[in-house]
Amino acid sequence: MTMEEALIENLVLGNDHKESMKKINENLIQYGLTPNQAKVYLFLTKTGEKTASAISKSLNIPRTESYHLLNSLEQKGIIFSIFGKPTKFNSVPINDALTIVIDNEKKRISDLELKKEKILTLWETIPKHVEESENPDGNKFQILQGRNSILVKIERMVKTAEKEMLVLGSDTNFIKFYHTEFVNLLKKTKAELQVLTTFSKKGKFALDGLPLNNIKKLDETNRHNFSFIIKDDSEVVFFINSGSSELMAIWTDSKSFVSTLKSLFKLIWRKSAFVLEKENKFTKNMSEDYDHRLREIEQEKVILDYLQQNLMVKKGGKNE
Amino acid sequence: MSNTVSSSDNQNESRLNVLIIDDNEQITKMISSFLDMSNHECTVVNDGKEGVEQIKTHQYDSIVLDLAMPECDGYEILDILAKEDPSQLSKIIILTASNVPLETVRKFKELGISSCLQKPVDIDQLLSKITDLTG
Repeated sequence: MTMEEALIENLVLGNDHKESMKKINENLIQYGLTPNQAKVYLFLTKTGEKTASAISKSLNIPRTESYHLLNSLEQKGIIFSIFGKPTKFNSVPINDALTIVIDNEKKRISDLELKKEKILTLWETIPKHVEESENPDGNKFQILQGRNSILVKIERMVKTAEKEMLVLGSDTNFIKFYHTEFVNLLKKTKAELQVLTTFSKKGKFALDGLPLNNIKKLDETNRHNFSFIIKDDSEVVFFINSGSSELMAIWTDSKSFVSTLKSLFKLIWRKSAFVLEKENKFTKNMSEDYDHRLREIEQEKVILDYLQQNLMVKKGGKNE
Repeated sequence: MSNTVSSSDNQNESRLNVLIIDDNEQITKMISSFLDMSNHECTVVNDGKEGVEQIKTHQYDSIVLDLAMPECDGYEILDILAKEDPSQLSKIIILTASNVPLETVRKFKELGISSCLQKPVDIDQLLSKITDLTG
């Protein structure tokens, strides 16, 4: 870090905000910016308009690279140049910039979808040289790396399930797929759904909306670190605990693998108890609380009447 | 009077060991009194965790259980028993002031729970549920 860069960082951000800035930088990379693009964008956002040479000096980036970076950021639409000599650059406010980047990505995906149809149409015109599959039930395996590739696979499985969907895993696994289409698809599936999960107080929100009579609670002895999803009798996705932060899973249509895991699922399902609908008196609305208390008081009165009657009878008996 | 009949009749019946789990101390005291009058032995606990401990360490003929309790509620007790000692479920009489949905009542039945009564309940009815459990 150059002296000037350090000076600007301290001046502009202060020590307290460096960590937040680092996190924003990391997140911008997930939005498709390179580390240096993110650095330049954030620098402009924080310091205001600057020339290419000032940016290059402050961020310790070679002059030629800084022109490339500024050019690419301008093409993305998140910075702009200001006419003058020398030309200065400034950034679009971060909220607008994020919207622009997301819109660009959406556009790119819709273009890809359009191209898919074109490619398939062209593909149909090419004569086949190889049979579709020599072994349709085959022992195919696929290693899925990263949340997105797993998500695409499991969503596809739920969409095409006809007979049953068996899901086993802790609710911390479900949280990873919260706010995705996966849980929504599970809610809508026409196949018979059975979910075995830990259903903890902290994590059960991820399963909100799933019918409780389809969920059984994994007990302590079965809370091993394994999770899998079985579709009909045909496919399974088995999550691997690789120790790294990235999710990994194996997909297979191997009959023996599917039937072994299905037997395991059914065994645990038989031994597990249904998740009972929990009622928490602290979350009930006022009217329910009132009714509840009223019934308690009425019960007290009924018991009191009973006790009084019995005591009177006893007293009466003694007097006689 | 029906109340006195059941009470005096119980003098001759076998003495039952009953556990009451309810956070309403007023109610537990009163149930305990009428069970005592009916010549039954009664243990009272006012929180769910203690209730589970009692069930694990003592033998009861009947367990009267409230559902809505702070911390460990009746549902959690049922969960624990279903996993660890399902034979206890048939001894349970749920006595609650909560509205229990029909679907949940069905689940209680599936679990083998003896009865689910909503407060206020007639004392003779409660007594007969308790004594019915011992056949």
